[in-house]
Amino acid sequence: MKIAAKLNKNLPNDFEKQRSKELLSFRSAIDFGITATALTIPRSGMETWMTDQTEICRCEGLTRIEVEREIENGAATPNAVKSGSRCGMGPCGGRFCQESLAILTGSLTGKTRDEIGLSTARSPLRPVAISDIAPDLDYEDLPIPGVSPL
Amino acid sequence: MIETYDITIIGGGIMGCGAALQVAAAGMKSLVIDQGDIGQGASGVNAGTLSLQIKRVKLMPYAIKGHALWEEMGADIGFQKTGGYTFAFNDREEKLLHERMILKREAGANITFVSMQDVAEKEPEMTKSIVAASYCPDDGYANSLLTGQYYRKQLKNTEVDYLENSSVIAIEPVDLGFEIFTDGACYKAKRILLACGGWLKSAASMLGVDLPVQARVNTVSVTERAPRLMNSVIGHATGLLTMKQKENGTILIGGGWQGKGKPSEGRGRVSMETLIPNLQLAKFVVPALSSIRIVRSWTGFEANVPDFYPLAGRLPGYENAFVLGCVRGGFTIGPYISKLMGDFILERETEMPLFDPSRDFTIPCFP
Repeated sequence: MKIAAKLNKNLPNDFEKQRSKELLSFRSAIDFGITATALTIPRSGMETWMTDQTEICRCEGLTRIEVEREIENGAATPNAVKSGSRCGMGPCGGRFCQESLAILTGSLTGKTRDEIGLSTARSPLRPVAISDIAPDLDYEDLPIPGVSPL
Repeated sequence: MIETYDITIIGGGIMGCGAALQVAAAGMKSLVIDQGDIGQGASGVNAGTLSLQIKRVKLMPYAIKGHALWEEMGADIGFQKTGGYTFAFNDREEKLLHERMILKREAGANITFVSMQDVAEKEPEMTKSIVAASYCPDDGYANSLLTGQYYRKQLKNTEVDYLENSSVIAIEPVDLGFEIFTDGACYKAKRILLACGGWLKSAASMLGVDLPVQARVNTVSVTERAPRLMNSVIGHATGLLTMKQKENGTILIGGGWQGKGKPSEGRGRVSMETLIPNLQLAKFVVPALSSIRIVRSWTGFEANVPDFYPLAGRLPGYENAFVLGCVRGGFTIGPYISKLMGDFILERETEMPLFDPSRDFTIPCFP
């Protein structure tokens, strides 16, 4: 309302009523989100009911059995499994799969979730177009450091 | 009683594993210890370029041998011989390209200068601002992500013991060898090889030796899967850009731009001050990269000594301690120089000379 006053805009008469209605549906959306997340979040014990074909990494299309093969072949940490299988190396940066990967790696190597940890996060947080971070420039302005030794 | 190994190797990258495989094949009971996972340091996070065009002239014979070994490792390590171009964009770079590539050709690399028309036909997505180009059909890349998986398997097959995620906290010279202490355990070995890259300085200091090792913090970025924008490995006359598009469509962008941090801090950090010009240069060379998204950027430590030649030989002052690292082009040369190192430890004659870590680093290595 303060913004509207600043902009010299008139608000409709039932603004307050509309606002509380919007807020209410917004809150129930948040509640739904929290509940859905709580129900679907990867958790310890999931390895007991997942099938071999359960998809772990959506970006790279990796199933449980493919990820576990890497662990059985000797990869002992989430970083090692990620590197060998590409689990978590797609556009989501592992946001969706790294918890599941930690749980699977822990359960097969006999470590707790805390001991096993997560794979190393890499920047950027979300994929970013090269043009959005690297502006055009005149080639001669490029700050090229000294050349490598011959 | 603690079992005594014939050799313990500190560092499970290409250097350490390669040397372990060579000595174990000759019957030495070997143990590899790494502070992280096998092949997950510089060996596993570098851009994977196998380019003779970016190798130092004096190291070319080693790089050619290394190349051949990567080719033998083949599909297991994602080896691709795509050929590679190096581009110059102004007169200064053209002169540099000619001078350097002629010397590298004389040193044995199959490098030719090619026309702009040839580049336009083979690599249509490249900028039209290229003024000179060289080409090497032997250039290509391997998938450094698979280094750990590959060497872990080789160590198992060769019955080399390995210990991952264990930091060595002390090394004590004792009668007939060394005691190596990790957090909670002690191992005995008749010989020791330090092959821990960026951490060589701290490992050597455990034996009272000060090696003049510094670490560069090289930055690499990878894009999302993109339509085919390049077929070969792409390089820059100054060495400040490497690009390749993997079979899955992702494009790796490197070139040795420096991030921040020190090995003692664990891992390096990407610096926006160098990442931006790195990407600007990539986008300049391949304009269509503009709309492609970067998915990850990271750094790896590349160790070096003041003359930028390898350390490969006895640790100064020790008969049975050895050091291998600081190779400059270590990914390409690693599989070969580590075999030589193994032969040296086995007291065999090495096929090519090694690089004495006791040398005076202020005097040119190759007078």
